[in-house]
Amino acid sequence: MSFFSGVIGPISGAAGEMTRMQVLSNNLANINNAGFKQDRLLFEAQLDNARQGQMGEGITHRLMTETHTDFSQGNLEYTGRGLDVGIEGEGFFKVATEEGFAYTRHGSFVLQPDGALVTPSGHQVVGESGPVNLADDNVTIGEDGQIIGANGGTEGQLDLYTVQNPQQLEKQGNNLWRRPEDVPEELVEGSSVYQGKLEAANVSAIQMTTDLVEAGRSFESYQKAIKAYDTVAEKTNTVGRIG
Amino acid sequence: MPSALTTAATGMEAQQTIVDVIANNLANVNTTGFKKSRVDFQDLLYQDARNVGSAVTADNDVPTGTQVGSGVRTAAVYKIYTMGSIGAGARGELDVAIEGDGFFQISLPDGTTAYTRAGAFKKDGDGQIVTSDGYPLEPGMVVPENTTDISIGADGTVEAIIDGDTANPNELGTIELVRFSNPAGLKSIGNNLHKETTTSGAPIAGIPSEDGMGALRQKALEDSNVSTMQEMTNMISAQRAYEINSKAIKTTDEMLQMTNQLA
Repeated sequence: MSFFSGVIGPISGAAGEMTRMQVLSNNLANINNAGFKQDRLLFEAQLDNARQGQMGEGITHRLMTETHTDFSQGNLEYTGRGLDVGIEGEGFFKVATEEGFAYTRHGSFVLQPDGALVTPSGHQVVGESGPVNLADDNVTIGEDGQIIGANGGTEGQLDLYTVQNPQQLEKQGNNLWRRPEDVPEELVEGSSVYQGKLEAANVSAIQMTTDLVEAGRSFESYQKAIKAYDTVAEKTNTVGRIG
Repeated sequence: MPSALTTAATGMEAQQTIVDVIANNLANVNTTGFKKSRVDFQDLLYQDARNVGSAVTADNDVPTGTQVGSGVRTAAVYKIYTMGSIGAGARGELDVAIEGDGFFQISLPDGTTAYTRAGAFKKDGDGQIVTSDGYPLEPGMVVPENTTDISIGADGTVEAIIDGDTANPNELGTIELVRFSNPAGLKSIGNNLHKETTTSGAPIAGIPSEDGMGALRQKALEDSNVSTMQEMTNMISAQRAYEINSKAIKTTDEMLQMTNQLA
């Protein structure tokens, strides 16, 4: 371990800030995407070769460890459209995809000609009693998810699902989350759904602005630290190495 | 790894699409039977970033999921078929509004059928009932000469009073309506006309006032369902979102600039 291995710290820090920028950019790009949940990048300081011996090789590495999705509630915004459904509380709609079931909070559904209730990507909504099919789009959806037809009869039911720890869900794009096979799904009770509303993304423009500044400034500090190591190295080369 | 620059650019494009759609909605705020559109988004694929230095942490329980998203894309722009308010007042006798989900059928010159909710009909030179652009209503009806009054019933029955003879109205026919299981899937072709697609489903024909088609109301027109206030609010929020996405580009640019200055 050479004297200058400490430069790894600020380098990994700068790389981490760049990744944070990418995560922030993705949050911002999706600021008007209904049902979107923002991600945060968590950092963990890792001590490498931390032996307090003669060599004094205590070096702090800054490691990025994981993205953490913030599942906090987004605002329910009025749209007036009959097949827009916003979730208040925990849980996801379950949809059938080519690669098995997936989960979404993007509740702007459309009715296909064959009666299947689908997401804009064409994935059919699935509940406890199987895929949801409706005779027509003239329906009333109760806060408990019950779908009542124009004739007053029950046409179907929107069910919500989650897993014990939603952090285990993996984002798939297309507003979908996927559940690892070994994690069991749970039926959610106690959440409400609202017809004619959509849940806005939970990205806060103010929070994002400060995060952008912070990422930029931290990156700058790391760059300065790297530069300092460079200066020291230069001096060492000038005077010749001792020891 | 997706670049923060391109990710933020997808965000700016998304806001631009919102503003484009709002502009069209606002331009049509006074168009009869116009339905506003909305943009629907999807997040793009996520990539797993490799953990920095994870090789040296064999004993540690480091979660592997560092998912970095690559932005947003427009999934769909679709029409919202909520009712516009029905404005009576100084209307002609061939102005008809639909108080429900139905559409009028219009014959196009190429022989195909288009659908509209703009019931501002006129008579052409032959007395045929046509749209403002001269396309005939289907089923076709010809208003005889010397007609002094036309009455259109809630069930679509069209009757002409000839030479003021109110006792013996001349029945011209019945206006049929159609509806779609997914009207959002209709394709707008301009001139207030829509065409059927595979996603809208085939038209289901019926008589006005039955099966949710909606009753007809003569001497009335359906206003657009555009709310100026709502569109303005959405536009402001899209503008702000555009601005902050551009800040992300600026910050990333500064970071890359600093990196270049290291060498």
